[in-house]
Amino acid sequence: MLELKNVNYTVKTTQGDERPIFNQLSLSLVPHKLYGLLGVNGVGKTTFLNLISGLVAPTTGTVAFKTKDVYQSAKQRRDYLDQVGYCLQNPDSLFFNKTVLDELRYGAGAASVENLIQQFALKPLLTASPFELSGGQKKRLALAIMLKKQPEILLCDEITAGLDAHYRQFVLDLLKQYKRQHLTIWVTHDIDEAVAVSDELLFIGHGRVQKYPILAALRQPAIFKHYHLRVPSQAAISKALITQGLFTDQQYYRSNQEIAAAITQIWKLR
Amino acid sequence: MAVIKQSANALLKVTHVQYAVEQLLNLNMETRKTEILHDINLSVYPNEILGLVGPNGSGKSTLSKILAHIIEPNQGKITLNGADYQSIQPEWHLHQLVTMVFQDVEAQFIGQNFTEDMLLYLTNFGYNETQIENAITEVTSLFGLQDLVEQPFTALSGGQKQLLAIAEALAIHPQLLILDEPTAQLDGPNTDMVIQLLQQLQREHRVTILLVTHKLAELALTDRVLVLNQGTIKQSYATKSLLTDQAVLEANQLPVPDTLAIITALKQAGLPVGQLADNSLPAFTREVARLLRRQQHA
Repeated sequence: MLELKNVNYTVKTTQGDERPIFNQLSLSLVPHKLYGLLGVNGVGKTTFLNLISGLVAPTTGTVAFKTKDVYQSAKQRRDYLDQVGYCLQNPDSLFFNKTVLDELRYGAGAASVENLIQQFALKPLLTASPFELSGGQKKRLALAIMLKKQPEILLCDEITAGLDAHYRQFVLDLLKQYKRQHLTIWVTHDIDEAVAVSDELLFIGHGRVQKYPILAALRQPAIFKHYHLRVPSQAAISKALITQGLFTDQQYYRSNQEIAAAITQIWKLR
Repeated sequence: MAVIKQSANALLKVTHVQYAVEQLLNLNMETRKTEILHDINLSVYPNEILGLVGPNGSGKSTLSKILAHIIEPNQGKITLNGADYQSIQPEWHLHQLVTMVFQDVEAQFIGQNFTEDMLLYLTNFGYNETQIENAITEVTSLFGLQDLVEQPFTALSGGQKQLLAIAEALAIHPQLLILDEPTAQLDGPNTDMVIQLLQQLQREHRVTILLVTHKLAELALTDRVLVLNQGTIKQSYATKSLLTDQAVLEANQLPVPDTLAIITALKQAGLPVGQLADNSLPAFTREVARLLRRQQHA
């Protein structure tokens, strides 16, 4: 549904020379999936989201949504932007109203404001300025604003950074639910969290974006190392149990619950 | 190395600090007062890394800014080495003794790039050009950030900016460094780098750190942890006992280490697993092996 074809993206450095960020990037992303975007700092995660958000056009190549070239005309781009919800890494850039309530009321979809206030537990914050909120509260407000228009594509840049365990779980559950009907892409530095929640991983590095299903990636920790990422703890735990002969070669799991269930299973059988 | 903690004199002592914001509601000058912190009492001891945790919106950043003398409390007293904050003159000297890295690093920089920012920053503290150059060389080599000093901040990633912000706060050798979620925006390798550096600072440079955090990797660095909730310090824990107690971690909205979470799930399923010695992978594997092999022999 979202199709990148031969995308090149180059930036000019301060020295005046051109630095390629993405090189002949071709990728196809579909709805009903949650894609976890992984890569080290400075590799282009935010740039990738900007390219597919309709905000930044590639130097060459096309980004197409439902076969329509997003950047072909100003109108096409506007139409596309209406269907994208993009939670920026710095939520301050999204806010411009005096109060949290005004921020929520702004734009179409006023009917859903009450629900959002309830769902995101924003009631105590309604009269506060969005800029005075704590880091975690800002992330919550940004997500609430983006969900108001129920975008077909939801992009979240480090949405869980700085959230406490309670709201982290809340946001993760929300992403899992949202992706059932939509295309959702999120960036996180918490590799364990990315593995536990995403359907597929998008690795960014070396000018490319590579797509892997979760279990395939867990079985080959070398992939993570190739992109200079930490091996997920789920993979490390499985690997340790396999080395001890307690798990078989193929027993890799996405979450702690699944690992615990597998151990329980073995315990009962023995 | 023997570390003297609670018995030593506190480096920083906070007594009965209270802070409220007054908001203007309308043009009739009606205002509303919201109490953010009430009756905060805490001590930070020399050469310790003290963790400060608490749910989102509990006042962690506000308290950090008060300790860094960026905002003033309405009531209460803060002393550094026994001297009241009010008595430390000139005022900028206090900003040299206690430095802070903000949660939002964008708020940290004024200059276009690190060199320019350091120039602006250190001139305030009476550094001359040579001293500033030396300070830049010193901190950037410590972090391996030499290549970034001339790059405009706009061209740097969030993580790179975070590293530079910490470097800057260290440049004037503060007695207390306050870090507000320093690795929240960083990836694995950069997180490891910051954490290693914090360990090095504690061991070799005897910098005392107050670390506001939600992350286990950062908590593991601390000696003690204070829990802030609803504007007051609710609890204080030794880090080791905190990190091996799932119920306490969950009650304080903190993440649970994976090995501990799995063992707890096994216990709840009725399996006869014991207590983990620590949260490490070898300790975990030993426990699971003991469980499964015992069953095998029975």
